[in-house]
Amino acid sequence: MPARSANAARLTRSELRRSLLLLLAATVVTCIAGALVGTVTLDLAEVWGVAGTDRTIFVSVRLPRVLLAAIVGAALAVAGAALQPTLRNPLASPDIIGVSGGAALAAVFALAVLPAGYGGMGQYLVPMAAFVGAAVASALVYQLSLVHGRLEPYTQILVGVIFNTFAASLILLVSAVVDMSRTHSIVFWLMGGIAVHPYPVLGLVALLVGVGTAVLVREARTLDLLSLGDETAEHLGVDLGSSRRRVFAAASLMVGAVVALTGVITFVGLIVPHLMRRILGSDNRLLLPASAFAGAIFLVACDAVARVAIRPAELPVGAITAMVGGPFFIYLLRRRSTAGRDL
Amino acid sequence: MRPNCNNSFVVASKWLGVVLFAVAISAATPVPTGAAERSTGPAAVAPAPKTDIPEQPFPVGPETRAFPSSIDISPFERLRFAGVPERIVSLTPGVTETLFALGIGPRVVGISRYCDHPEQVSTLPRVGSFLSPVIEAVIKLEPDLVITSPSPGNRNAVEALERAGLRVEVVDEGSASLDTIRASILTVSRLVGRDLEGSLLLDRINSAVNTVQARVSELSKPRVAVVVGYEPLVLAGPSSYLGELVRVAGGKNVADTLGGKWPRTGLEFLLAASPEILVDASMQEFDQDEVGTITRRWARFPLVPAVADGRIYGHGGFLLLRPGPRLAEQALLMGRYVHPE
Amino acid sequence: MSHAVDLRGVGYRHPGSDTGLHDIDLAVANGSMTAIVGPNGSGKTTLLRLLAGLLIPAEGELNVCGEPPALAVRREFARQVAVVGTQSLLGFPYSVLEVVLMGRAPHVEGFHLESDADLEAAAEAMEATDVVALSGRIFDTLSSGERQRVAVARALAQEPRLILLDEPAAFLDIKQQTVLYDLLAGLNEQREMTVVSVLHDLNFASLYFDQVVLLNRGRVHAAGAPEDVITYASVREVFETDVYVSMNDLTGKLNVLPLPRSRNT
Repeated sequence: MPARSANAARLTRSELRRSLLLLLAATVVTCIAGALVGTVTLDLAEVWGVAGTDRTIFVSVRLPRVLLAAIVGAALAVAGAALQPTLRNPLASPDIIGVSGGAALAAVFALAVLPAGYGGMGQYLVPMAAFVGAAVASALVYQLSLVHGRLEPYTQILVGVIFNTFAASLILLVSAVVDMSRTHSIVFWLMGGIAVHPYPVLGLVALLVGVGTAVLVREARTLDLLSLGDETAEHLGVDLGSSRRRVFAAASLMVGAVVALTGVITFVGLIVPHLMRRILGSDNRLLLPASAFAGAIFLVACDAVARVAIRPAELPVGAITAMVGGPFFIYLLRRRSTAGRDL
Repeated sequence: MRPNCNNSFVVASKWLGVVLFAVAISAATPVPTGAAERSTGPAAVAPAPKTDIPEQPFPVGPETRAFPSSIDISPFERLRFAGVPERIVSLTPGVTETLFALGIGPRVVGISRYCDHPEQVSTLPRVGSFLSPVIEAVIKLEPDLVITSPSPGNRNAVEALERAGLRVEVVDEGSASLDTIRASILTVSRLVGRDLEGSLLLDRINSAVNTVQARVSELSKPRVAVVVGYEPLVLAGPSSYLGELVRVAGGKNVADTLGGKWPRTGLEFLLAASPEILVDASMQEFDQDEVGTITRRWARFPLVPAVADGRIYGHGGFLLLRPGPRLAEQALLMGRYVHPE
Repeated sequence: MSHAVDLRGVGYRHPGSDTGLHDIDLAVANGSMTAIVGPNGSGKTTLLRLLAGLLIPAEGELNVCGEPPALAVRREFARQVAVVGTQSLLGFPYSVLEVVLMGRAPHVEGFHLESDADLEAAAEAMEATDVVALSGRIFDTLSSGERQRVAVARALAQEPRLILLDEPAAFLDIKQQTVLYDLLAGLNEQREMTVVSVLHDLNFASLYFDQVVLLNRGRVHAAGAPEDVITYASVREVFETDVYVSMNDLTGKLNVLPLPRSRNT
């Protein structure tokens, strides 16, 4: 039972500020901790002090990875937190709106067809293709989900799931048909993972995620009102059509940007919002930004485990999130009764 | 242009040798992210004892870039000549073998997890592979040269290593043909300043190949199938070096009709092609269990001529699956399989 | 303004069908309680949605609290008029207080959080609907009667002058129904809140409401005091069933008794 509701207090400014500052601090701490662990044991003194191998590793390898993990985790968690009320389904997550399927499909096509090349922006042809695929998929799903010109949540979920399944089968087809060496790179991409990218690229992704998050946080109260039912929400002043469109567009933008770089990482967008809802309550004005921080913390932690668990080899981070998320999900399902109908 | 770079490099301070060198090279090479990355990136690797640059600069110049026309340099080999590397990380088994065959085994400080030959490598630290290098471990070894083969999965890692200030060379390991293997050996030998040893190695390979070719030239060509993977069934196609070895050894590759490098096919195709000789290169260890498995596997198809005549061959230790300096041995072996006479 | 609700010649057609409302004339006085009854498909819900501004009339003049609702700015309109439907489950764990506070949305500016004044309004609304004890409970764990009362509290938190209800007592047992209508009647008396409600139960309609509007196939069949509108003849014609209508000595209001078919013939 969320603490606040038990005391029947409302969300106040100071509580909002306090919670978010706390989460921000926790995120920073987690990121630093995450950057200090890895395949190689770093000498802390060297990291701080003189330029040397350890410092190089910290700045060129660890930090970019941790920052990317934080950005991706935040994006997925916020998108999930916003999609759940807008689709009126607690099981909604960024994975089911079709965007990740479109991105993956486009990436696989690119990997099957493009020549291998080193240097310059060649490395980013696949992520750019993936982003375009994400955009196309979201537009397609949107169009198919319109019922009498309105966005129907139930239809949207169905279309998204079907689209993902369709994309998955096309991916299998492509993988089976191409030359073995390319099959390997396709499998590798699909496994997903937090790779090391240059800071400008991180900056671009951070910008896109920031914009998307801002749009979603702006719709936070609307998302609360939506849970009262479409008609009541509409009567209270919500413009159903445009707010659903905005949420969908922002979520697609963020998810497309991160999936293009890291592949599909599951469970973050589903689990983190639920966890935050249990701790902080359902008020989306707190839940959305809190989910962003919590998502960052979660993914940074999972990535750290992925890097360290079987060093020097690395596990795919999606495996860790699934291993943590899956059982936790079951646990939430079983505790349904005590927390109302929500998971 | 290049000799000038090297001159300024020699003139500059020895401590910052590697750093300035890397900057100069990145300025010279058309890598868009290069210059910007270097200036904002971390201070490059500057470990103490390894920058012992010989007084005589490594002979580079247009004349050394004129390779024999029969050898194609593929687009992703960027050859940047510099001083002689002392600490080398090799992420490809073929390159590792080449380095040892060239006599500079002691300079190898890190290898991939797939490297298994020669035995000396068993004590070396493994840092991932050309498919997915472990960036941190590579950096920690402080190499002045990292050699890897092209693979879409390592593009990101290669760029990351370069951003960290390391020198990475991408050399095609040469699974496409004998010529590409020769080219890779040549390239590696030039990279490490062992031209002479490199050409000696090539001579040995060429003589073995020529010998085999000469001996079988008049003989009939039996149908040969080279199985590289069993589930799914993958054969060595005409565009692979194993396919070429079949031709060299005087056989006819049943996979010619399939085309490609490593075509994936079904058992039906193999049975219909009725090979007279079958080389099962998918073996791992040449021990009793493995032999038993292989035997049982093919014994199910007694109608295949290769099975009926007992002409199924294999060799342990991945010998056939490592394009590289042991090409000579591979050619001889293949010759023996196809035409034992 | 004279009337809370004023309709003249209002018509509406559902997209893609012939059904809808035709030539509706209706007036609801301030501070009165009006019931809208009629068989299924007669247009009750459509009429309510027109009043709420969720639908635009095809013809005629429609004014609610002095202006056409479809043209009004939603937020401002919501400060005058509150709408209560059958409140389904939210699907997410909001507390009762949070739900009631959502009713303050039309009063809260942009990105501000609810102020103390908003909290007071919510508290008052909860008191009036007797749900203060449920304040900290998760909404979805309440019984249907409690949920409906909380929905009314949410509507009250909007501090409206007119409250529109669409079958508020559906799925409630007889006690819950009585409690709800008592509540509405109380609000009507003490706060002079105008109440317009769609309902099915003719007995409750006659018991609690000053004016009853009987709709049939999209038209007003009759409107006026319950005893004038709910008669054997009108029920026979509109609902196509027989009822026994009488005046009850105890309550002074109508009894409407359905007549089961005789088993003998």
